[in-house]
Amino acid sequence: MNKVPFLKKIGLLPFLAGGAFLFGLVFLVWKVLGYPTVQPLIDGMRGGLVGWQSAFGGPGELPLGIYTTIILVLKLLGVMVVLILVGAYSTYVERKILAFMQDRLGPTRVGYKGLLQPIADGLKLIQKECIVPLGADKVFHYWAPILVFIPSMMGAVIIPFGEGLIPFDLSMGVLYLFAIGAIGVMGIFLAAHGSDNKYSSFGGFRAVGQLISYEVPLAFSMMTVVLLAGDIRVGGIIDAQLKGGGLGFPIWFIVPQFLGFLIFFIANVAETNRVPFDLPEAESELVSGFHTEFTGIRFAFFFLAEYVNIFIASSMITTLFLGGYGGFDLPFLGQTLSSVVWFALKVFLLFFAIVWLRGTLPRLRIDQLMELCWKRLVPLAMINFFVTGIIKLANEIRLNPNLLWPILEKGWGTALLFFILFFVGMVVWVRHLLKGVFGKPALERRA
Amino acid sequence: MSDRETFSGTTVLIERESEDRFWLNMGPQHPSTHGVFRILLETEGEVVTRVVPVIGYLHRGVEKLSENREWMGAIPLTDRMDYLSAIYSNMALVQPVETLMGIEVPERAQWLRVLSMEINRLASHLLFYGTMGLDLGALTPFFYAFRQREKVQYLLELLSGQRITHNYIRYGGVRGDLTPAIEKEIRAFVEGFVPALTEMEALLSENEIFRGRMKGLGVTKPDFLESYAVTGPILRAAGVDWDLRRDSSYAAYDKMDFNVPVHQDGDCYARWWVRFQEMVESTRIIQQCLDGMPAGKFKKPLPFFLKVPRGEIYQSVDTPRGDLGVYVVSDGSRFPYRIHYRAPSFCNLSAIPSLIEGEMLADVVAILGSFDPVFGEVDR
Amino acid sequence: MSNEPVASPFLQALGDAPQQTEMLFGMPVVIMARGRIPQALLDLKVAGFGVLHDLTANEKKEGLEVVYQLLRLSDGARGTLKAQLPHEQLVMPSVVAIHPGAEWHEREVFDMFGISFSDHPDLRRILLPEDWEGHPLRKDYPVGGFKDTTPLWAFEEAASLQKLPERTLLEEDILKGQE
Repeated sequence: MNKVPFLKKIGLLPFLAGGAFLFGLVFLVWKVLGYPTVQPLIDGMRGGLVGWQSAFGGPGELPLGIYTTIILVLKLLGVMVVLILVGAYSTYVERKILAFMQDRLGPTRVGYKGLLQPIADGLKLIQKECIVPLGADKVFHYWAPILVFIPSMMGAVIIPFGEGLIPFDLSMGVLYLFAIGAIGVMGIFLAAHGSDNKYSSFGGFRAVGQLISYEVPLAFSMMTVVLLAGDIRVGGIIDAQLKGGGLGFPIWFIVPQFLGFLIFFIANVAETNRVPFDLPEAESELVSGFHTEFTGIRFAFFFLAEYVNIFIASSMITTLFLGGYGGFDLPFLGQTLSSVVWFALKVFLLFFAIVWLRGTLPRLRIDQLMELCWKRLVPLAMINFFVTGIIKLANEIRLNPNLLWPILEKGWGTALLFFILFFVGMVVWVRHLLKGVFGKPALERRA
Repeated sequence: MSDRETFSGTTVLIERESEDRFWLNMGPQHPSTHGVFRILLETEGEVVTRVVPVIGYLHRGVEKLSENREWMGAIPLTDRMDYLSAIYSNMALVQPVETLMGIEVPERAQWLRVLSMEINRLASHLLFYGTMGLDLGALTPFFYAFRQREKVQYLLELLSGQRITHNYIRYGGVRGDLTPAIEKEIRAFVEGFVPALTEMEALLSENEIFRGRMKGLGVTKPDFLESYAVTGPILRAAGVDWDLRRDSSYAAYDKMDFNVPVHQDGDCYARWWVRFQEMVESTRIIQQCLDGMPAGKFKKPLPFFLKVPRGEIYQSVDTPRGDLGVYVVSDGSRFPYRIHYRAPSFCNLSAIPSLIEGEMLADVVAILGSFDPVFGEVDR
Repeated sequence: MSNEPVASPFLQALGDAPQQTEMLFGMPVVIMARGRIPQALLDLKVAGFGVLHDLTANEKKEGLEVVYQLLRLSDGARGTLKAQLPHEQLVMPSVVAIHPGAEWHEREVFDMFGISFSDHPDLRRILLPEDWEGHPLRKDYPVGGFKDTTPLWAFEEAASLQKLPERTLLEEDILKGQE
């Protein structure tokens, strides 16, 4: 028996090391990139304040700095509480919807109609022991759930909960979500790699392949909306739909962008690992995929992150395509509250659709999943982007005919090149599709 | 490097070493190995390159135990082999013993046997329907199937007094009679079951993902199946029209009017389709049994301690999984000399490794699920 | 039921080689020397008896007998082949090359009766653990077994789990007996 060092014995060292590494990384980014990078963040926070001031009154007697700090902390706390509640009760709502679809009752025991079930589940998970497998990498195993959970919480700060209730309307807008979302993939892979379980590894491989692939159509369909709105901020995109910013007349972008909506919805379902794209945690094949070896609060982090991600995805679909919190004022509720109700209603409808998918569809196989992404959604999203760009350009020229000649004079070469590339790509893709459609069914297996 | 390697008690011949491949141990504790099957899979990415099946985790020595019990005591053991269609196992044992003894079974008992077996077929295929969905990741079919299966179990409980290990068919007849009250329950069930079947079929058969996953997967040719002695729905799904119920017509099957569903494709979807159509046909047989049930005794009285004349016999019946053959040797004493069960799942399962090789990990589960093995029967 | 041999497709397929034939409950049963079994199965397969429905063994006083049940799917014709082995020479030629499905059956017979099959591709125990002692379906094997039968590797694995606290436990390591 060789002597185990004290720090190793109590198992603290890996956590300290991991924490120091993460905080060091953040510090380094801050130092190297400097103020200009952080500036938009701070600007966004300031911008977001305006709405809150109108909702809760002005600074009054307090100095502005302290007031800003208090509001900042309050906003963060509020978002966290809302998210955790939404995450926990999403499970309840999902179970009830599934029960309704499957002709059974769902949770009924804890509280009135089982309403306290999520809280009971949470308490159970918190008090359970966190088992770390013998061969697991302790650092990764400890930090991975946190690395999955935190980005999903961070992503939620740009959700427009209601009119004037956008916690932080960042100037980098919806791009922020992609930056944050990429960290979650890393967490999943670390969880898989750190568990010392072959099933987890499979889940991790699948997750990375799937999440990175589906970000492409996701980003393309999102950029199409940004193109239409002429603004990348969340508030700007909603304003464009409600007040007619980008196009010159108010319209929900689901109408001109129905294809984009479908692509964005499918890609979002895939990004959140839901049926029929739940391959990383496919129960019948991989037991539980990347979170097989997690128990207790660490498992709860994964669980909560998944539902928070669904909430964020639904909110983003609402924001980009369904006019965000827009809707007529409801009686007795006032403008702000009715906008919150509208937002919640739209998010719930999307959540219902996602649960509906789970109640109906089997799971895809990994090659079918990749084929759907790279051979169907990505080309479609690209074509959608391209065509929308042309229409948008035509619209701009219609609004301002003086722009026509400068554009043609300077950009004809580029335009020609893009047109040629576009048509070559179309021909190749359509030929491939036709072969698929007439040769064999779309989802037929390879060779 | 030795050419043999051992994984938790199982020796495996190592054919070639490679950095890109690793062994994945699936089972015996795994959500979709349908019991306690263990497969060692050599994988390269998602593709399975080699398969080493390991069975025997549920071996209880049914054949050995039977030799040390009375003839009557061997029937409950058969319940515990194929626990999803226990009545068929009863029938498989009772039939050859009755032939050895030369017993004439009352007509009503034969009809009751057909009735109970077909109800049991519904229970077995409903479970298949549910788990096939689960294997592919669809939750709802499972609940749809189990809602119906619960009613089927209730009917079997009414008939036999048991929900799983029915022990219903005995030497000389059956355990209990079909009373008017039970008959009413069965009729009520059949009435509700037919529309439920339509709904269940619509849930999966037109599902694009389900068809995409199942069609063209695990294709079996009749020659291949014959060489592995695979029988039952799997054989019928490959276009071979072979059903002992019709071709050997034991019990009262010769008086029933039913079709044998046959599919030509031989893939997973065909196997699913054949089993589903068998449920429809079973419903028809049940209806005919209820309508034409002859009056009379349901059991021929026999002494408890049977003495079976010296001799040996091999007979088989068609179960939801294939031909269950029973080889009975009697030395004329109160105890069986040897009873051997030719378990259909055992033979079917032996064909699986060559089907799985070269498929993807997710398809392993789908192919295994479409073969619908029961490991109580494989391991006996 | 008559026990006299009558004309049946099964017997016709086997030809008129020296053999002992009887009819049991309508099923032709043919007893032949063990060396002739593969050739007989091949002949039968050519004649359409392509399904080796069952393969098992049975212990008798004078020795063991291996029983082959054959089936023709086209008309449902059946037949039984038997080969008798004396106790001191429990070896059969394997028929896996003719019927691949016989592989597991032969392993089961090896497992339960101790009959070894020459030329079998992978003759191991199938239902019982590899280190099991005895062959349970032999008449001299008690129902309760000879001894406490927890497989050895279970103990070894548990022991090595306690020995290696810090690193990934690979099964190869256990077998090589590191530490």
